Amino acid sequence: MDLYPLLNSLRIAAISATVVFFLGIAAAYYIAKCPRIIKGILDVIFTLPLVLPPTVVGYLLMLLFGPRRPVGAFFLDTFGVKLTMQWWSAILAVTVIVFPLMYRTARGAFESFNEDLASAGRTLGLSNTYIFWRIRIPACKQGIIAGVVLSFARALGEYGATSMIAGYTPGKTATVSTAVYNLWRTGNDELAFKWVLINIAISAVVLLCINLVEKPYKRRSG
Amino acid sequence: MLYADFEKQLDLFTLRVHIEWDQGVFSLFGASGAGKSMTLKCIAGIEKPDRGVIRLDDKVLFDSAKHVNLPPQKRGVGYLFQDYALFPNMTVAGNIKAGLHRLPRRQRDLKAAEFMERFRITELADTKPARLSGGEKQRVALARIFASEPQVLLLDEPFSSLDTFLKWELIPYMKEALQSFSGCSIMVSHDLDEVLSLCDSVSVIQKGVTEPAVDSGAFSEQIKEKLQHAGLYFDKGIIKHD
Repeated sequence: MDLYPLLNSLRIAAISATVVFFLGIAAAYYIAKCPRIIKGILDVIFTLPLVLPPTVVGYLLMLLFGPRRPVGAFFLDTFGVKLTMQWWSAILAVTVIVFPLMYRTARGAFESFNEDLASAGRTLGLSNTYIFWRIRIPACKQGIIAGVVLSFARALGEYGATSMIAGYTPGKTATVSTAVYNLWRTGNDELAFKWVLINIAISAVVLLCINLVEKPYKRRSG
Repeated sequence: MLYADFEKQLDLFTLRVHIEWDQGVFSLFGASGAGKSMTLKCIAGIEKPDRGVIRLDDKVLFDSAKHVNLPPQKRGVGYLFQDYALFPNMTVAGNIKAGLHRLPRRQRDLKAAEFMERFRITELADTKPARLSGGEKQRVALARIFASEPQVLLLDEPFSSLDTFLKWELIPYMKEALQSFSGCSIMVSHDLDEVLSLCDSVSVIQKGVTEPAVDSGAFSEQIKEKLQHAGLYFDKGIIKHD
């Protein structure tokens, strides 16, 4: 059995979760400082990929990154790189789809942060960078870890936008979820079933991780 | 010498503060929501007044006309928060060292040890704040502030999160700490006992407006008179029925 789809899914999910970790935290942190109207608009935009069908997100991404579309054509002409139908094209799709999960959980964690801690740090002469990384992030650690694990889990299962921007090429762009669909479609039920089992196993492990992360959090607050 | 004369528009009223204070403990006495905490936050630089001047000796901390607004890091204020604001992810020693992080490691360790000794919290060095009692938290917060060597102490309702019994245990301790401090201190409170037992001078604040400061002895007399009209009498900070 060719394990390429598993490897591909794992690396796409890992890279996307890492990217989204930084982007989500940055978005959650800076949006709190925006004026109310801008905050409202940005919050809608940032959360939209969560509620839109993944095919709609895929369609919009193709409008941007397709080989004859503005960004796609630019990269093709200047660097000779095609942005779609590569294994890493899926990272674009998955990052957009998963971003709201990280952004929302990080924002929730930041909102429950006691701002007096940051003020205390400032009166003690601590720099804003020190306060952010050594006080704010550790205090919001539980929420942020939960956000990353959740993002990773969702990234592993992404199908709609991925299949539009990266397609399904065995050994090249195949992921676990696209493999299941395409094996089933071509009547290879036995192999499809194996991938289904693998998928269930991975998801169960990830959910177990989320529970392990969340438990001490609840115990402390309750 | 702390000089603060500023205004800030708040939701319900305009804060109008005038404080001139040299040495010892100055108290802003008023009801909850009278703008006491906001006043301290403006002096510390956590909040920005709309206009006015805040000066510490010759150093201008805030001057709206000259567009000066020093960040809290450069104001040299020590701020004791109502809930003490200890960093939950650090131990007691870590909390004290955080304020000393610019010092070389050896010096930092020595200084932290010195202040833990002085505030009698050495045995708590490796404890996380969540496991401390209210009184211990207050001592750790004070040690952390004193170690960072501020020029002004700002105390925001220092006993409000403690029960009355514990408060009476801690007031003499706080008095000792405040007396050992060479700069000036400003304490806000809505508790007469605290004000009369710790402060040298009192200014009443009502709906954001500070009244001229009076000596705490004279203030106690004023209160006594008011209470006598109502058939109550007053003894050493404790109100009793006739």
